[in-house]
Amino acid sequence: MSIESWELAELIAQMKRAGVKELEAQRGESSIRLSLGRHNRKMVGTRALELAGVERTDAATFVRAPAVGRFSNRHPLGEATTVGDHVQEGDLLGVIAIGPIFRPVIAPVAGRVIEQVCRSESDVEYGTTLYRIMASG
Amino acid sequence: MSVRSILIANRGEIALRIIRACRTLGLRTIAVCSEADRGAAYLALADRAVCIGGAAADTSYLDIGAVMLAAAAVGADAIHPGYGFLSENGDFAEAVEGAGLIFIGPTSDVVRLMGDKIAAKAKMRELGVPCVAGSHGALPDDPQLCQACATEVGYPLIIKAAGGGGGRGMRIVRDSASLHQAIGATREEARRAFANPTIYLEKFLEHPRHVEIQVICDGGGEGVWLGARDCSMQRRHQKLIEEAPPPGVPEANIAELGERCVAACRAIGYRGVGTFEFLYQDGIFAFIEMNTRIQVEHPITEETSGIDIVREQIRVALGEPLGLRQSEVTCRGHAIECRINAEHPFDGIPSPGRVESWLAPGGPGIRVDTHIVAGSEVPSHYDSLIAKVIARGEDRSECIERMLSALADLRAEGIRLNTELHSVVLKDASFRDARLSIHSLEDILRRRASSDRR
Repeated sequence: MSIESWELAELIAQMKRAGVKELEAQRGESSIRLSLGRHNRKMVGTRALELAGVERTDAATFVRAPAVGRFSNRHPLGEATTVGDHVQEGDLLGVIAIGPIFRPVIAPVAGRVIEQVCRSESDVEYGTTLYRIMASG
Repeated sequence: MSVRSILIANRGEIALRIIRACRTLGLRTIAVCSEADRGAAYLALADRAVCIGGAAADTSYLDIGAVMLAAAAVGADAIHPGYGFLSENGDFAEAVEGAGLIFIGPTSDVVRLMGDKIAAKAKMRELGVPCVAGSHGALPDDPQLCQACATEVGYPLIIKAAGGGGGRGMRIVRDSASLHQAIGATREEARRAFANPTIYLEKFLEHPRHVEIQVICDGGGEGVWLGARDCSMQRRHQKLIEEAPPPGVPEANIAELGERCVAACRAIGYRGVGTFEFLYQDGIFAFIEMNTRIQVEHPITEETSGIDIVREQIRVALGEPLGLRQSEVTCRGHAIECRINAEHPFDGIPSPGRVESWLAPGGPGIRVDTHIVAGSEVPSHYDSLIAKVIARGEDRSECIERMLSALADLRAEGIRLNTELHSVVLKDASFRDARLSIHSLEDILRRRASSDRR
């Protein structure tokens, strides 16, 4: 996907105007994810983790929805996340769709997905539990 | 556009007040909440409630992105910002407009204009609203020019941050010797607290009252004022007790001021409810600022005017004509509001926690606006206001008696309330005699503290 610098500037300006911190734009088969982190973090996931109030117990880590919208266990261009999958910290586990906007659902830890708590294509709100991950190591 | 649903970007008692107003208009309500408010009883009274962020307000109620995304996700047609939070945020109003939704308030440019205290004052002066003598704009950097301006205005004067509010970023100067130090300190404070070093100066009134005018306009040139309120009973610049009408202020003077306020609204194409705040001393009104939102104390005007202000606010925002002429507005009787805060009554220390039991007052002329029920949680993250007791009477003394009785009825276990503070004020001779100023409450508390020591 080629994107002109002015298009990028325009996207960033729109994000700032709307107060949106993360944005995924799609064109045909490819997509781009922009993150306007105040802390300039390398990992979007860390920010999402903070926002979603990840809860760790001895048994598992709960992955919660970062926003209100429709949850899907897959990005339209990617594979579905299924129980038994081994994931790395920062991996994309699914998306929350709000109209044309996707908010990423990020693996807060590396480990094995032991449960998908929320049905794909259902409406969720901030904090809805989506998955349980058994952390590795 | 046919509007069917309103997203309420607020919490607590005002969110519930908006839900009720929407219901009378047949509109669906979507209440947003933070994690701290999830499960609160009032949310069940909305048609839908969605959690949009964490307990910290800047990740939920103050997060423009979270609110806008929630509005998109639930398909809201309009957003009501309530008071506080994003209600006077021009960027938010613009984001709502930009998304093609209706902001229940004025247009974003008017929100911005009134949010800039210097620009607002200049505009109001231009439109014939009485203003206090002052620098008429930002103070220059040149100390000599500042000194000349201060001499012209006369001491005592007050230096304020243009981006300030809530009593922060201001200093009183009583003589020219301390002027420059005060200017420097306020400028620095403004830079740090509001990221805006712009300051201005005004004549400082020693014992003014706080008097405000409620207006409502439909953006199509129709507007009315609904009477005035006295909000002099303040503590640390936070209003505590409000009443309508302001006792002892001649009706003719209020009417003249009200007309000027409505004329100013027409001139700027104002849409929605608004409040013009004034200092009032020695028969003179001086404009301080305009609030472009519903105010906490709107119920006392509803009680004296008989008009459902929140309902009208929503109607005009949706493009309906006001359909109300000034000659049809009549204010009767007297109303007082006591803000019930979850705090220790005399030191004001917040008292969050679980409300184990809750008994609200009632009876003739008593209205209680609250979202609290037995079992409610009062989170520590937000303002401590949890209820408003409003008393109405034929005259002020009947109103005070009813309020004292209502305060005696109000019971809560599990948290502390500031009820006793209200009772002390309402029984004080200076309040009874309507000898009011914005310093009255602090004076009453000082007298009480010194008599306790004796």
